[in-house]
Amino acid sequence: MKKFITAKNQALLENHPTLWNTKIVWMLAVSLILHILFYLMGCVALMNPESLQRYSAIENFFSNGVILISVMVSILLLVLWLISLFRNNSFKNFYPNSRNKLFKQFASYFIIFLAATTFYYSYTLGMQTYVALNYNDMRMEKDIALTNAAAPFFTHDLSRYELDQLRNPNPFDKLYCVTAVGNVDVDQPYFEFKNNYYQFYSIRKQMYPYKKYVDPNNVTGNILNETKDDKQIFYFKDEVIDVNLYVKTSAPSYYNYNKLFYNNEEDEYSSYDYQYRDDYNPFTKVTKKQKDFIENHQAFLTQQDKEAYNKLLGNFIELANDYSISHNLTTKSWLDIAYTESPYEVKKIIHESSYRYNPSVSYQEENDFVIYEKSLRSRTYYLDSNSLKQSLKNIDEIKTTNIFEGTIHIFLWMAFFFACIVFIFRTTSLKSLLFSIVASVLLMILIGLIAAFFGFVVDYNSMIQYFVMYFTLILGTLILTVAFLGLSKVNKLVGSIFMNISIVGFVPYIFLILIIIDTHQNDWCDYHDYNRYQPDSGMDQCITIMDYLDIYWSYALLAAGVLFIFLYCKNILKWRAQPEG
Amino acid sequence: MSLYLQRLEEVKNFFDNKDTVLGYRKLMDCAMDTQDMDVYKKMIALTDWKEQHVNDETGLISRSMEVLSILQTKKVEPASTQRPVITATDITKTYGTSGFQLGPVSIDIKKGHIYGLVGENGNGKTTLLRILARELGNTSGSLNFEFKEDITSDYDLRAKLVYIPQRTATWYGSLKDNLKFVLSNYGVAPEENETRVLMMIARLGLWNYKHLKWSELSSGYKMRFELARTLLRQPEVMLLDEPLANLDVLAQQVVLEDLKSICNSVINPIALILSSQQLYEVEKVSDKVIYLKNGQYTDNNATIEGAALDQLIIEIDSTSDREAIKKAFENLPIEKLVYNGGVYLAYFVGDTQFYRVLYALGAAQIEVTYIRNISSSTRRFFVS
Repeated sequence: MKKFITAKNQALLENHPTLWNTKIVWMLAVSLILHILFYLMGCVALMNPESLQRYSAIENFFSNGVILISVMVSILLLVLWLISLFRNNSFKNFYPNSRNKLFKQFASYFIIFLAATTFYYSYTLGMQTYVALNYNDMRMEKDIALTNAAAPFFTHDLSRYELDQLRNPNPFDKLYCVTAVGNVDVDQPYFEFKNNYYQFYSIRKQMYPYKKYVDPNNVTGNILNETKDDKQIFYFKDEVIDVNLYVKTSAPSYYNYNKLFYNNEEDEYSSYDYQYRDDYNPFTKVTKKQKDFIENHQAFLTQQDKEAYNKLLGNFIELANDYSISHNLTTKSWLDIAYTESPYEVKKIIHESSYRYNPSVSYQEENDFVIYEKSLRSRTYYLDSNSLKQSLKNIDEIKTTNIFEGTIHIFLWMAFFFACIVFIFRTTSLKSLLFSIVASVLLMILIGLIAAFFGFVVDYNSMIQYFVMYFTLILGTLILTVAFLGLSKVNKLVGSIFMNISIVGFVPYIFLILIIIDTHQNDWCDYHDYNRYQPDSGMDQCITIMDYLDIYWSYALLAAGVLFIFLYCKNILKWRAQPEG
Repeated sequence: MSLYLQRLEEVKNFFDNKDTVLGYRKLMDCAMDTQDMDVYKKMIALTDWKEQHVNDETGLISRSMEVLSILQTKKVEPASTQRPVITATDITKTYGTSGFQLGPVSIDIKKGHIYGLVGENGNGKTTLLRILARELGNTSGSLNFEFKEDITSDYDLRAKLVYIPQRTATWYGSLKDNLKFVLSNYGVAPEENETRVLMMIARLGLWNYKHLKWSELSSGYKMRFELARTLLRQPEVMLLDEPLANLDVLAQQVVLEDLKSICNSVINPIALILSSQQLYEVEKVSDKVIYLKNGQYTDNNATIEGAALDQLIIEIDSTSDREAIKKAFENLPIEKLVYNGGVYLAYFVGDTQFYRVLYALGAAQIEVTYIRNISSSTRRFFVS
């Protein structure tokens, strides 16, 4: 191995001195090995199913301390690299050099920094690979279907089984149920169970064009409002509907259950579990998937097939065990609770965790319904369904998340910045680098002080914003002008400070120009009353320069920065050749 | 007979007279002049053999003669040394804060010549070297450069002006890799890299030191490795600031002899400018001595040539007292006898012969520990 490394190293030295000097080949080789190690760590990170029960398991890298290992490994690797990099410097020794050769050095630094700091991706890819292999789509589809089918029998929350939850058959999917006792019209048909009231209403809606925006608080009696296309729609309860024919019991029943336990097609917000038992309860629309689920569930109940119950609950317990979900159910004990005959009233409540429930301690108001609910908790069964839901959610998230989205920018810019610093140090000197840092800080203080002074003089806030931006722009332009045209006219050390600030500051300079344009455009839009936030409002949209490429500006700016360094390498060569004094 | 063949003839004479150390060095110079990698390899193999058979002089001579016969079959075209590579015209440098001014200096630097830059500390030697190397800008005057190949950029010019400062940087990593790095940066073919490096190592007597670390080398060998690195660049101009500092007397002589020999290469002559405090050694190898005093330049050859006609100046170190020495010289046309605290300086009228001074001292039985005729040496400016 040592022989191989020596031979390759000599070949690099003789054929590609820049690559030999930057040690890029070895750094990439070591980084690759480390990436593989992190990938393997990622592969085993979720082997214990309990690790999937944590919130946002995809962020495992940050939550389980791997980030610390990664940072330490990166620092160690980069420090060792810098030590070996600083051994030779063809540029400072005046060995023949060119723009391409110099740029090749910068590119090497950038690639090395990127390779040595992005172990997060390997680790997370490892997790994704493990999840994709262990929880493939077919298995997940089966597991989710089984979980959803068994979920009505979890009976954690009695409110899920009350009459107001009934969404099938027709017309329940189109009715609005009033549950607050004060709002129930006792002269009209209604239901009552243990002092809980249920009265069903039909719904009417009213539409307004969005341009004439109506504040929902000013529309009395609306139970829900939404914005669709260019309209505002308000929903109101209309008249009481007599549904006596369809309702078999007003007690909590498995038949009323409507909630899909896990729906991977819902987005985060719509899958939110908010349900209120009063007039604020929004009218929720029943999706096709939910309707199918309710129909299947009701069909399952009405079949009254004990064997089917046995199979469903038994299979689910196996699944729960596979996912290491904590519970104390057996198929038999659960069957005793879950199996009921029409009207399928709930017999027992199953707790969500193993914490022992003490029915004598309650913070709820003691009414008939609460007493009834307590009576259903007489035996302590538990099933940690939340963990199961979290596991399924995590699996979906890990499988579908594009880990490069967003975070890649952080790594790219970090690599670019550090590559610039090393490049500056390699082409100028430590003294020059330190002076450049001091000069940059002084410039920032100067800008701050002048802005503060301007703020005292001018009593108009937005003017300060423009003043600071334009002042910084002028300052930046001056620095760049000297860095491009005036290096030979100033002292070599002073020239290097201008040069260094330009190398690091070019991208912020371009970004500043974009911000200035964007601010002007925004102000123009505000002035002309253009709409900027509601794409569906029907108003003319205000698209600024930042909106054109959005996050892709990051790539564009990075490309501009790299291109600048490539072009500027010629000036760096010129500066280096310049005599002192 | 061409210059190259003359050199080969000299080498043969050295070996015939069993001056193997010098002969071998000259043989290597001739081998390097061929720029033929097969010849290089033969020399490298011979050096390896030589280091393993240190006491086998006969074997070394016969093997060297074999290489010599191969060298005689090669043709080496001598490079031109007529046109100056650097022409400095009235260059000056003024330091604003101290008020020190160097120059004006006008000088032509030609390839194959050695220029000794002497003067006391703080008289502008390093400043002049740095100006010629374009490390430092000059206040006025002009500098022209003319190399074999056209100068393509300022950086290219700096790459051609090889300047070694007094304090050289530490080398890290393998010494050989450092040398190979130079050549690969100069675009030398990979298959030639190792050979050229080993040849230079052999030439500068570093064969047994090539595997050591920088920290394990003495100052003398550090300087030799630095020279090896510089010479691998095949410079046309070399500017060395105090290369003899920190070297012992023997090492100084060897380094200077090597430099002289290498700079006189047939195919790649080098213009060498070196500053030093070692007047005798520098004067011995220099074609021209540039003496700086308070920043003012003296064309030493011109001054001394004139002065030498006027006076005979003898530097004497003796344990005898002043009166005894004065008495010894009473029959000679002595102008003055000066004691500067360490040595006596005796000034005689122009046509006095040095042997007469020696005779007078011998006849008076004066104990002399050191004596030197400094009439034609810049030393006369230092000690007086």
